[in-house]
Amino acid sequence: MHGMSEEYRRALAALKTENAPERVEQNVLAAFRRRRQRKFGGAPRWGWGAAVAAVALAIVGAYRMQHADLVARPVPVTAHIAAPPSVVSIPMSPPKLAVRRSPRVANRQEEIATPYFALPGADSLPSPDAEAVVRMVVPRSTLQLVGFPVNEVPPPEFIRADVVVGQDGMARAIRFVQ
Amino acid sequence: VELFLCPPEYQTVDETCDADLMQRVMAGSEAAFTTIYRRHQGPVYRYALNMSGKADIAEEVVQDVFLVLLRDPCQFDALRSPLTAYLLGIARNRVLRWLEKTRSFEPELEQQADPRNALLEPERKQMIEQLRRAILALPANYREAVILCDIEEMDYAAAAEIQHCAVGTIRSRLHRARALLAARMRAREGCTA
Repeated sequence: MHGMSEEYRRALAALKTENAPERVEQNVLAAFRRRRQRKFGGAPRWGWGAAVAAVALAIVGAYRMQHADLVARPVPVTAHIAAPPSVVSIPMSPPKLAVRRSPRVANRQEEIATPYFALPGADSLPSPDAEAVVRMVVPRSTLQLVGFPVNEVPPPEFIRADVVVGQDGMARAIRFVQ
Repeated sequence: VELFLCPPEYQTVDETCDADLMQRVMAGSEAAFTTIYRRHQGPVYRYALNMSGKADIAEEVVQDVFLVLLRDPCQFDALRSPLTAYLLGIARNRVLRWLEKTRSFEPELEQQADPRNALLEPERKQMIEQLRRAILALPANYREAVILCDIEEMDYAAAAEIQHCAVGTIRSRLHRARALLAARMRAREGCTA
């Protein structure tokens, strides 16, 4: 270095030999071991939680299977269907409500449901590969969409409906359930 | 997939190159990690110590740098830069953040309690302390250039990569830093005489 004595060169060389104290190495190695233990060794932290949850689910499942006839089976909210339901075009005159019985559940409460009606604009949508039927509550005025007369005098109320939704999230058809 | 980026002659014992060692670290080898630590802690520690003037900050920086390496070893790309440069880059961010936080761009020298200094003769010990003070009194950019090029003996290109500047900038910073350092050392010599 410029104009520096030999002494200072030696001092500079002394600065080059400084190292971190031993305790830093110990801390860093301890961190390495902890990390390795978490990554490679032993069960993961969530393993026990998952095991407990699985056992709890198995017990609940077994209990429900044994007491299936005592427990009222809930009406499914969402059902996946293999093929699209038959859809009728929007009638010009109001259709009559048809009574449908669910073939699967004998003691299920009887539901009155209309056929499925294509929603306006659904024809222009591409036919989906998969569809789902979603049970939802819709305003009564939705009946007007498919040609049902709606009395405006009583305050707006809500009715249940099954809506066919394509995989693209677009609603294709609707039926009303009572 | 194991990547062997080193020539076969370096595949033996402690001379294994950093890229291979990092592969072993990722596979959980403590020996490989210890080798990497011992090989690179010195430059990181000296950089942080000479930049901050505080041993406890330097220790903290060393610890942080190797924890970052442990946490995300894939961030190191052996084809882009050597491991020392990568680790010094992390250390630099930590030190600059600390300097910014403390707003002490000319940090005070902390009295070092290094037991090795006790073995040195008083004159030489004083000389080392004077040099350290003179380095600490340099502006941060100049100080960094001196640490990287004169203490760590890195080439200009590597130092420029760490400092994110052109090689010419490093050269000029180093030139001015050395001149300042020599002047300050002469002044101190005059004072002590």
